[in-house]
Amino acid sequence: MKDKFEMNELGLLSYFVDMEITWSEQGYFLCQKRFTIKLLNKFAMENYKLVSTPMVLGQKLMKKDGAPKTDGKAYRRLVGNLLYLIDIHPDIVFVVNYLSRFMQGPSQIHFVAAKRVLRYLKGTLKFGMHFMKSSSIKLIGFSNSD
Amino acid sequence: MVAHFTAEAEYITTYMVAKQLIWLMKLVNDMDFDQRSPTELFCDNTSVIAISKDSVFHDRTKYMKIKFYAIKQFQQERGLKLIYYTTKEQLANLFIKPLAKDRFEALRERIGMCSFGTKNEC
Repeated sequence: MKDKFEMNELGLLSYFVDMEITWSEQGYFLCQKRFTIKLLNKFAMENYKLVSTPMVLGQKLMKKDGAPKTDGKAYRRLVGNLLYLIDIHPDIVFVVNYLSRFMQGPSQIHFVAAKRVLRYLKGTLKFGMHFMKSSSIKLIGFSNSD
Repeated sequence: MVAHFTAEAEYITTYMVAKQLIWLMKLVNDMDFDQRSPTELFCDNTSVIAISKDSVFHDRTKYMKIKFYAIKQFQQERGLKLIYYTTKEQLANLFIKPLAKDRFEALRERIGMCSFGTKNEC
């Protein structure tokens, strides 16, 4: 192919659209540490305390919760950035989905909930998806409704 | 669509998951991964499994749409298997509600998320 087209060989993929890829013998590891740090800096959250879950147990958010409205633009930017993270952070999928329902007219309660996700991410900077090489594949389904 | 009781709601979701699974099974097959054993579908509601196994006319399920009974057909013809799983172990819980720390961490590990350096999971 090299003779036919002009191309460079850069070796194994290590960084691609804010995704860090580490190769090992068992497989590869995907992580978005750099992106998360950038995100924390963007929202000036570097010095906040860590939390262990992205959402408070049993928390219900509402569209009209009576709390004063907050800066919608910043909220939308934050949720947009979080959406970028869910590919390899399946643990925050639910909360990001929940938060994105309030993109229009978020209140301070929503913003605090969104910032909690950032605090959670700060504690799980090194977390990512590890894909293992394996010879067999088995499909399993889980179903639940709430 | 409105479900009239919990079992129906669960049944409808199971049907939807089953549909997706059938598609995924085809995809996996096309990729030449041969899977001999039936695909397992974990479900934390016993009534759903009962309805899917037994097509006897139930008073409370008589108005349910015929298409939902496809789960039964999927099980007979397409190699799908419904298995009961306790709510505690249900992986899908991570995606539908906020959880307490212990459960959250346990489930997070089981869906294959791990910290760099402790790569033994998945």
